[in-house]
Amino acid sequence: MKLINIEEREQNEGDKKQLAIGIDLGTTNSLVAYSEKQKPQILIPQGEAAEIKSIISLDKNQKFQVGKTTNSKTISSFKRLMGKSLHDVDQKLRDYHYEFASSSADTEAVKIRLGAQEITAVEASAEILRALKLRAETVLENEVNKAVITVPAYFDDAARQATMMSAKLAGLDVLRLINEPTAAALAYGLDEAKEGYYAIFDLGGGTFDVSILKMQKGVFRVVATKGDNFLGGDDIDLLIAKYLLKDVANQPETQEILHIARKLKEQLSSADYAEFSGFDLRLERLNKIIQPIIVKAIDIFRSCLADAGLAATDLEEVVLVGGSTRIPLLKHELAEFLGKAPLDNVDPDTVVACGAAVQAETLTNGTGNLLIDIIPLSLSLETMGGIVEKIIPRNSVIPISVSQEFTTHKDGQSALQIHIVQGERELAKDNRSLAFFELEKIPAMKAGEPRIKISFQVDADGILTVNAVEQTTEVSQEVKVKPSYGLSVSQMQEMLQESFKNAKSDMQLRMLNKNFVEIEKLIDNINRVLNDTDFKFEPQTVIEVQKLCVEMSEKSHKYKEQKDFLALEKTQKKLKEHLDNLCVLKISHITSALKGKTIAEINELMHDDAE
Amino acid sequence: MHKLELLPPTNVDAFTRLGLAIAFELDQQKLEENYAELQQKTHPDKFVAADQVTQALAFKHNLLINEAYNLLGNDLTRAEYILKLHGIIVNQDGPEAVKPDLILLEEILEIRSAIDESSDPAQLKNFATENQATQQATLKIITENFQAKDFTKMAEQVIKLKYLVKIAEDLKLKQARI
Repeated sequence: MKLINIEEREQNEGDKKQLAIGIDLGTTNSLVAYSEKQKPQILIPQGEAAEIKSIISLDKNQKFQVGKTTNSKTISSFKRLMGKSLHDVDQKLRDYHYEFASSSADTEAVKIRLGAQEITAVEASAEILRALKLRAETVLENEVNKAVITVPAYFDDAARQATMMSAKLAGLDVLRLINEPTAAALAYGLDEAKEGYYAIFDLGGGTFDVSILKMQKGVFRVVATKGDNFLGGDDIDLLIAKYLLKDVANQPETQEILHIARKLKEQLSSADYAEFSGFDLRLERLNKIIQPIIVKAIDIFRSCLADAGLAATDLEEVVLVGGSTRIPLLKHELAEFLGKAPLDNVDPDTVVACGAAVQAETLTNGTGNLLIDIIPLSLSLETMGGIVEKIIPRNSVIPISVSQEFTTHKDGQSALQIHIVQGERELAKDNRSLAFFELEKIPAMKAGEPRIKISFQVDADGILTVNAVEQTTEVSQEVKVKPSYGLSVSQMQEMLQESFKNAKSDMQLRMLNKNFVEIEKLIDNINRVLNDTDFKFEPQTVIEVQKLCVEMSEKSHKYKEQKDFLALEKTQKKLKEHLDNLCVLKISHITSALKGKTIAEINELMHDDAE
Repeated sequence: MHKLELLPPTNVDAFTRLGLAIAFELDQQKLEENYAELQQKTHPDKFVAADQVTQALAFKHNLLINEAYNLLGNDLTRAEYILKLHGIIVNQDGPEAVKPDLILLEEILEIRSAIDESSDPAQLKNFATENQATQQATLKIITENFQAKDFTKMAEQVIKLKYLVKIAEDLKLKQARI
C-alpha cells in the first residue's frame, strides 16, 4: 500500500534561496536578524544603527516615514494599541500621549492622529515591518518574504491577529509568531546546550513578560508564562515625568517631558545623578519613584513560579531581557528575591530578534531544536449569569484542540449565541472579549436534543479558530465570526484591497502572482489526488470537484487581471479546503486499511511500499 | 524518513498514548521523558518540509499527545479520566453523572460561608493552608481507592477534590483582591 505524497518538494525553484528572517517588533525599537547554521546575526546596513526606532512621522510630502524624529509630530508605542478599539482604550492609555481620531467607531481598530493623517496601530506596525524587510533585503542582497515575528507572551488573541495582519500588509509571510521570552531563551540556550529550568525576565518598553522554560537536549519547553501588557519603560517614564512636573510652572509638552524622563532614567543606569534639559534627578529618588513597578514585576514572577510548581531555587538562571532590565534597582531586588544575581551578560536588546531568526531557520531549513510553547491566557465561554467556563486553561501546551457539547434551551430553537473571552477573571465582562458566535440553522428539535459540538483549536502561533457541528444530523455549520475587537472584517479587507489597488511596487504584483501560482498548484494537486489509483473517490465527487477546479481556474485568471487580491486569496483558501477534505477522506481510508494490523505488520507493509 | 509517524493515530487511552500504565499515581519523570520524545516525533515544526498528508497526520498526533499530557498532568483531571475509563462520570451535568452526597455538600457549604464572611488576610491564609492539607489527604485516599480498585469510593473523593480545587481558586482570587 502506498502513502500518498501530495505536494512535491520544490527543490530547484530558480537559484534564489528562500530566505526567512527573524523580527523583533518592539514597542520602542525593532530589529531584524538572520540565522545560518544556528548563528544568528542582527542585520545592519552600513553606517546605520542596529535598531529601527518604532516611531512613525510625516515627511515633507505628508507621507509616513519610519524611525525618524522630525520637527513634526511623531507617534510611538503604538504596539500597545494592537488589536484594540476605542472602546478598549482605557484610562491607562489615555494617560499617554496618543491623539485618537474621533472618527474611530467604538468597535473598530482605534486610529491615531498624526498631523492631517490618521493611522491604525496595524498600519503603523506594517510600516515598521516594511522598513525591516527592506533592510534585510539590502543586507542579504536577496528577496525576503518569510519571517518569524515575536510578540509579547501576554499578547491576547486579538493582538496576535493584528500582528499577523500587519505582516500581511507589509508583504511578509509569517512562518510563526513566537513569544518574545521564548525567542530570547532560544538564542540564549543554544550557546552552551543548557539543561534544566530557566526563567526569562523580559521588561521592555511597553510590556513585561516572564516565562519559565525547561531546556532539555535541544527541546525548549515553556512551562509557565505570565505578564502585564502595561508594565514597561513607558510606564516608568510616565511616573518620572509626573514627578518632574510637580513643581514646574511652565509645563512642557507631554512628548517632550517623556523624552526628558527617559534620558534621565537612562543616565541613572550607570550614575547616581543625572541632568538633562534643565531637569535633574538622583538615583535615590528614581528608586523611590519606580519601586511600585518593580514590586509588581517581581510579584508576577512569583506567581509564575507558583504556576510552574517551582521555587526560585529550582531555576538554573534568570536571564534578563529588554532595555528596562538595565535599571540597577531592578537587578538588586531580583537578586534579593532569587538569592543570587540574575544573568545580565546577554545583550538584552538583540537577543529576541536573534531567537526569532533561529526559529526562522528551524522552520525553513530544519535544525535540531524544538520549541514547545503554551497559551498564556485561558480561553473561556460565557455561561449563564455572565460567569465564564474555562475551555482551555492558561499554560496549556499548544497546538491544542478542545471540544465541548452544547444544546438548545427551547423547542425548535434554531440559533445559539456563544461568547468567547480570554483572561483569568470570573466574570465574562472583566475578560477580553474575543468573539461572538451566532450558530444558525440548528435543525428544529425539542429543547436539549440537538448536540452541537464546538471545537476550539489553538495553533502553534497561539491563534484560535472555532468550528461547530450539529452532531445528530451531522450538519457542519460554518461559524460566523463577528470579532468584538480591533479590526472589523470590513476594515481589514479595505486595508488589504487598498494596498493592492495602488500596487505601486513590484512586491505587491509579485504577491498577486504568487497567489495565482499557488492556485494553479493546488488545482494540480487536487487532480492528482483525484486520479490516485489507490483509493477511488465517489464518481460524483470527482466530477463535482473537477468542475469546481475548472471554474476556479478561470476566475483566478480574471482576478489576477483585476488585481483583486482578496478574491484570489479567497479562491486559494477554498481550494485548500477542498484539498484538505480529500486528504481527510484518504487518511480515513488508510486508517481503515490498517485496522487490526499490528505495528510490525504495518511497518512491513510500508517497507514493501518503499521498495 | 519518518516512517511510523505517518500512520494515522490509533484510538487508545491517554495513558497508553504516553506510554504509561493506567494508574492514579503518576511517574512524573517517565511522563516527562515520554512526552519529550513524542514531541520530537510529532511536533508540526518537525514536518515543515513534509507533504501535506504527513503534516496533517503529525498535527493530529501532536494534538492528541498534548491533550493526553494536559489531561494526565493534573491530579483532578487524571482522576476524573480514570473513573471515566471505568464507566463512572463525575463532576458533570447530565443524568449519567454521579451526584455529590448531601453530607459533602453541607461540609463544602460550611467552608464556603466561612471564607465568604472573612476578610482578614491572616485568616484567609489559614483557610488556604487548611485547604491544601485537605487536598493532600484526599489525594492520598484516592490513591488508596485506586489501588483497592474501589471506584465507587474513589468517585466520592474525586467529587470532593473538585470542590476543594474550586475553593482554592476562589480563595486565591479573594486573597489577591484584599
